[in-house]
Amino acid sequence: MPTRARIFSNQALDDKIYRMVLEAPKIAQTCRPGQFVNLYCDDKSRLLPRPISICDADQKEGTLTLIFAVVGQGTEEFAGKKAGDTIRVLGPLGNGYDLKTAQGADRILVMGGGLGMPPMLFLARKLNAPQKTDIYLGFRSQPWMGQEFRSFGTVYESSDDGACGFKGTVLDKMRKVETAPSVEIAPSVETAPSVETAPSEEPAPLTGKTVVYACGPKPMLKALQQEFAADDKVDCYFSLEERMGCGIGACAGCPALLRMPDGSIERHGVCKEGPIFNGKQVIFE
Amino acid sequence: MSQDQKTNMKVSFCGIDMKNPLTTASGTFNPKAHAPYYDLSVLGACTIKGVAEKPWPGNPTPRIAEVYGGMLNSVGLMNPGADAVIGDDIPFLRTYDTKIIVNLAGHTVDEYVAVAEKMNEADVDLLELNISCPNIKEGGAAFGTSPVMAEKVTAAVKKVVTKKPLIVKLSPNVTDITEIARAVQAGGADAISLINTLLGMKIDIYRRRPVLANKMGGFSGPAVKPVAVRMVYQVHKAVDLPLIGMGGVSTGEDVAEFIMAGATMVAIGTQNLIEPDCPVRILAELKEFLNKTGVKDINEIRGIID
Repeated sequence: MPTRARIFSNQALDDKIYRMVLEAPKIAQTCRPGQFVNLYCDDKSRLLPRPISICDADQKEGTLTLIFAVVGQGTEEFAGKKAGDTIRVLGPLGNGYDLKTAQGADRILVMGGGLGMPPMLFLARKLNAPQKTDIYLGFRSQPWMGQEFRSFGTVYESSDDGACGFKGTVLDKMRKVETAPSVEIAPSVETAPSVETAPSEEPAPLTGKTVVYACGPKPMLKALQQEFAADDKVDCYFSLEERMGCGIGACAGCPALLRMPDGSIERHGVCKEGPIFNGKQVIFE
Repeated sequence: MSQDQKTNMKVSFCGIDMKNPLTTASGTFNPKAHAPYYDLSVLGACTIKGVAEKPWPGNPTPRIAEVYGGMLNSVGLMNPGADAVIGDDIPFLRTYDTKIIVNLAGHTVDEYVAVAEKMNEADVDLLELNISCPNIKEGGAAFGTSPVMAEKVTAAVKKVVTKKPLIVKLSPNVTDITEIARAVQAGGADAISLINTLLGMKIDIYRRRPVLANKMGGFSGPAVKPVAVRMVYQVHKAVDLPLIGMGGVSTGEDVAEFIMAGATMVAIGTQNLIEPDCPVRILAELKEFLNKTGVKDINEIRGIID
C-alpha cells in the first residue's frame, strides 16, 4: 500500500538530476542495496508509479535518499517538490544485491554508469570492505556525486568528454587499473591521456576471486558481460532497467531474458525477481 | 461495522455464491505478487492471468506505456502454461476464501479447447474464455471481433467445459458489441465479461517511433470507463446472461455504476497495478455508498437504468 512520506529535502545536483531525502522509516529499516521504491504522481492523469533506485538509507534517522533524473512529466512533478511536501511511496521493491558472494571474494568491483551510480552508494556502504573494493563511476561530463564513495573503496572517475577523471568509459578505466594493479595513478594526472598506460589488447585476467556489481546503461553491462564471460573466477551481478507497469510482479510488463546453466531461456520479471540478476545469464537484445 | 452488516453484499453468479461482487481483471492480478499486500479473501473471486495450454513468451519490450488517465500494454499473454498454473497458482489461491476464475488463451480453436479441457478438470470455480486480447496476431481479438468466429469458438469450448460455468470475455474493438454478445450466447456461454482493453497507440514524437515495441497495445485505466459502462449497459439489454463488468474501476462508486448498468460482478483491473491493496478500499467505499443511499441488498440496484 503506497504511503505518504514527508520530504526532508529535494535539491538539484545537476541539470535535471535531483537528490530527494524522504522520511520513510519502515522502508529505510528493511531495504537492501539494489532495491527500489515506487514513487507516485499527485496528478491522477499520470497513473503509473515511477521506479526509483534507493541511493542510501539511514536506519537511525529513518530516511531514504533517492537520486533521480527528470525524464518526463512524472519526474518533473517530483523535481518540483519542496522540503515539507509529501509524496506517495511504496517499497522496498525488488530483490537487491547478493552481498554474501563479496565476503568470499578477493576483490570487489563496484561499477556505476550515469543514473546507475546512485544505488551503488548504498551497496558500497553495506559491503564496507574498502581495502578490496574498487569503485568506478562514469559520468557524461561534470560529476554530480562521487565524494560520498571515498570511505568505501578506491574511487576511479571517468567521463565521456573528459570533464572529470579519465576520458572514456568506466570499462576502459577498469581495464587499465585492474590489469596493472600495482600502478597507482594519481587523480591529477588522469586528465592527461599521455600519462596513461595503453590498454592491453587482451586484458590479463584478474587475480583471485572477484565479484563485479554493476548498474548502468545497457552497452556498459553488455561490455562487462563480454569482458568476464569466460572468467570463472569472476561473479557478476547486474541491475537491469526496464519500463515497468506495476513494480510488484503483477503485470508481466518487464521481463528480463536469462540463459540458464542448462541452456534454456527463461523470463524473469525485472521488478520482482530482479532488478539484480546474475550478469552472466542476462541476454541483451 | 454494524451499518455494514445491514447491507447484503452477496451475489449469485452462474449459480455460484460470491461473498461480494468484486473480482480482479485478468492480467492485472498475480496471486503471489498481490498476497503480501492484503488478504485475498476480501475478494468475491480472483481472476488470474490468461493461460494457454503451453507456455507463451509474450511480446518484446517495452510492453508498457503511460497515457493520459490510463496505460497501454502489449504483454501478449505471456504465461507459464496450464500445468504450471495448476501446480502453483491454483493451490496457492485455494488457501484463501475466494472463488477462482481462470482466463483461457489460445491462437486457434484447438488451442482454446486444449487448455479448456485441462482447466475443466482443475480445482477452479469458473472459466473465462479470452477471445479479446488485442496483443496477439492470431486468436484473441480475431475471434472476438467476428460474430461467426465468436460463436464457433464458444461452442467448441463449451462442449468440453462440462464441470464449470463458462464466461466469455468480449473485446470493445467492434462496431456493435451486442452482435458479439448475442453470438456467444448462441454459442452456449453461461456469462459474459467485458470489456477487454481498447486497441491504442502512443508515438514518441522526439524519437519518431511508437513507444511500445509491438507498436500497438491495449488501452486501460480510468479513461476507458465511460466506454465500458456504455457497453455493459448495451449488453445487459441485449442478452439474458449474467455479466462481469470492468474497465477503469478505481473506486466503490465505479463498482456501483457498473452494477446499475447491469453487471452482477465487477472486476478491478489497472488499479491493481497502481495500488496493490485497492480491493480493500474499493469494497469499503462500495459499502459506504450503499449505506449512504439506503440500499439494503446490492442485488437491488443491478440493471436499474432503463
